[in-house]
Amino acid sequence: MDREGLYEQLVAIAGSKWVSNREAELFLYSWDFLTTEPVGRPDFVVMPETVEEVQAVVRLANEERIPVIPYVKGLSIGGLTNPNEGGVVLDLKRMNKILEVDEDNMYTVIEGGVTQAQLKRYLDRHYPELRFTYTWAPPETGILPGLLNYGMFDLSLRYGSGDRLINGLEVVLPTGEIAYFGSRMFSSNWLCKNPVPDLMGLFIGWQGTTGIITKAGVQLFTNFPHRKTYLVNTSTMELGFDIQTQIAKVDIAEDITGENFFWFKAGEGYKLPIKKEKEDPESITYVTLAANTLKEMEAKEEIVKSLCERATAQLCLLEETEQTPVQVINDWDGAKAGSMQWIGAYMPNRHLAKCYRKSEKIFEKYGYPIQEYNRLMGNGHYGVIRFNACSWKKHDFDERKKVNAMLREVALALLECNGIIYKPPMWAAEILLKRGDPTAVKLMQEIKRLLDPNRIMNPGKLGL
Amino acid sequence: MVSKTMGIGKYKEVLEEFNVVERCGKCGTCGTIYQNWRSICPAVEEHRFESYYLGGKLLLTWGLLYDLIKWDDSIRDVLYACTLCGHCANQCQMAETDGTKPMKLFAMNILEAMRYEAAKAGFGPMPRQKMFGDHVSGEHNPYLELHKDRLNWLPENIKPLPKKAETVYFVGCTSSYRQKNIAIATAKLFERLDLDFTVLSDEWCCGSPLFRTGQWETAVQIANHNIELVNQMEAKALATSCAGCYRTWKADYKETYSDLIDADYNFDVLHTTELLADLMKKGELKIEGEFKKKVTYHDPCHLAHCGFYDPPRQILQNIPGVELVEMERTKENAWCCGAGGGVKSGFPDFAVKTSIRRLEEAKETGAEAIVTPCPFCTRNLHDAAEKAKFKMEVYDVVEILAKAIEL
Repeated sequence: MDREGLYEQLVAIAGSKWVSNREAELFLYSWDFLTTEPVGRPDFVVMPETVEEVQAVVRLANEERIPVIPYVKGLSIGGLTNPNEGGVVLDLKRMNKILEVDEDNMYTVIEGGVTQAQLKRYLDRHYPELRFTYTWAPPETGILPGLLNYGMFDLSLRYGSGDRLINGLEVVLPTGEIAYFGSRMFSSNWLCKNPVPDLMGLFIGWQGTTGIITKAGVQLFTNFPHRKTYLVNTSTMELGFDIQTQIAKVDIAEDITGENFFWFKAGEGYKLPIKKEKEDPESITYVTLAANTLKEMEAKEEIVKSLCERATAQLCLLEETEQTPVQVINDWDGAKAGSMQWIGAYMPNRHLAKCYRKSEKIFEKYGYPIQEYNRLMGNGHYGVIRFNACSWKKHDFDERKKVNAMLREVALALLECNGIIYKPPMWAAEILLKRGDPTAVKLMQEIKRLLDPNRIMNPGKLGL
Repeated sequence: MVSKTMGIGKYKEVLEEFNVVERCGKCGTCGTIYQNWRSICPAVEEHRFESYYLGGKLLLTWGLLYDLIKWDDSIRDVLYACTLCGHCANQCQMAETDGTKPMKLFAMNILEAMRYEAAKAGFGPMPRQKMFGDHVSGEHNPYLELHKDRLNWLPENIKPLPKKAETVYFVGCTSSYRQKNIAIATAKLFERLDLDFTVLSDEWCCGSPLFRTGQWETAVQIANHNIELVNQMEAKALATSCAGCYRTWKADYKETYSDLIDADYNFDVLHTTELLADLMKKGELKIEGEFKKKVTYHDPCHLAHCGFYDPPRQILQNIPGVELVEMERTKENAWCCGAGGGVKSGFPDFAVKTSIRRLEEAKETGAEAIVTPCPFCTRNLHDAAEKAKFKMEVYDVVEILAKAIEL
């Protein structure tokens, strides 16, 4: 079918208002406008409203062998929704309904395009005793893309990465069929992922290469009446990682996040590079505590204070803390250049400092200020660290190549420190697959072939 | 900061210093009220595609400036299907170390400049905007009316106005030709208060619709005419009951486009509500009657651009019988009525749909009436109420005051 015929078919499915082959949209969905990742060009952008429309688009794409790229806001910061082989970008923003909140079992059922802003507002207004966990990402970030791609959140110390919060999925398979997983596989509820074969794993961490998630049941949490965040400053990164681990081990914090001096200063609006003075802390850690009563809060504060005293870390209460989600303005704005790309990994906590120093040398070699951000996850069982490059002009294509080369070196440093790259951009996925267990990688590729024989789902991502 | 150049070139230094265009990361924070999370952008609410966000429009500008894309109708449509309310830019948290928020300061200027560029490239303005632009050149109003009829609103029962006076009442096109009740109520109020006021014999459109739609050459010509005319009157103040005229006189003539306008002025520019609220405060405006209704107040975007929020509220709070209740989205986070930025003429259905959304929000408060100090908002809200058969009365602040005073 020619492009005109495809356009008419898509219009018949979603309506002319919600199908675009116009320059304005093709340009804006061609790239994430942040990273060094290759720019694509979609043939169409479609905004479905229902799962039936998603099914119809996918069936058409499968018949015509054209790529489908699921999209909510394109903020993976790794170009994961760049349409590198053209096709249909399926923008799920109209699928934004919050369908159910089960107060007793503390979960909600949401559509694939629900954003942090929408869920936060909805819960605050209707279920103030409940909360979801948000990330330091902009309010329009999609909830489900973050969970499905192992994102980290402001309750990750307690509950681990985002995938752990998913109770069940409604998936449109690459054939256009619809399937349910988790407890929803055998019942009408979205209670938990157990006790069934964990087929959700076929869609979690696959970067949209195996299906489109149109609905999910996700866990909610108690919104404690008392919540405080402390800043813990240390003179070195080593001391910073050390105090983070100590606080994680006493099992009282909701969240432990760290950042280095340059990330912190960029967040304050300083244009990088900026000189670090001797008295400036190298590591800044945010420790968030929550409690049912003031007495409980005081007890937790006392423990944190005592640990910091022993570690000679400076502790201060963050007086004005914005609620998440926040606009991560200055993560990419430190150079006033509107650009950023990070590379990060899940990693043993004991390797975080070593990894930082290795990466610091690489940033120095390329002449960029290192921006580091890390989090302790799952009660301190593991850590996530990432390094951000931001001081480059996005219109400078030569500089983009240079930054990409630097990030590749950092990726190798992460792997040398026993890290596993997360949300890998295409080039990093290739590196990972080459180093992966060959039998498991082969199985992964077989699964992809089985689910998506015509390779229409977000082709090129994750090396697939 | 700005050079004497039309179009985007006018902001060369701003682009270099603050990098407003390239700096956007398409994060979408501009789509909702920050830390409240209710939607703020009528264009995003209506169209949803990335292009309609402020960020999308800035990145299209970036693409055009770096020659990555070429002008076409789709880019034109996106740039013009925006009410320029500017509330999107208020949400962007990008900040300098001194707290300066470059998007808030410059994003709307950039968008207006890109409309000028669209016109220069042969893609703008929208056909009906071009039509009213041409009409303004000859007849000095965008409503396709005759200039000689401009003062027809003036009621016969008002005493003859002097040639010169302390205060010039700048009526504006909407109140002169469409919402005449606002002009009549204002003139009667001024008369009752014994103000030394008059109107211009040769008032032209303020130029706001032309500045907004990229038709700057005509806008500059009429700005020069209007300023020179009022200067000849030797008035101490110019008062207008139109939010659009107020912003154009106060901000555009004096600041935003002052580099393009030869004439200058030294008189005060006041919104009518500012003048009346001041008289109220001094005890010179006493209200014997009442207006017994629960009302909500709609902030016109043009006034929000000037940080003007309180005087209309102060008036309403002092009218016996009025119970003022606020909507959730107010002041710098108000939901636009949908008419601004040329949208009422360029995309009339979208304008009314946006206004219906505002009426729905007004209804959430339990108010019986929505009140605003802008004839253009009043008109669009009226149109929406009529189209949607919405049970919500629409008034200008001055109309309510006039009713309470029983003029």
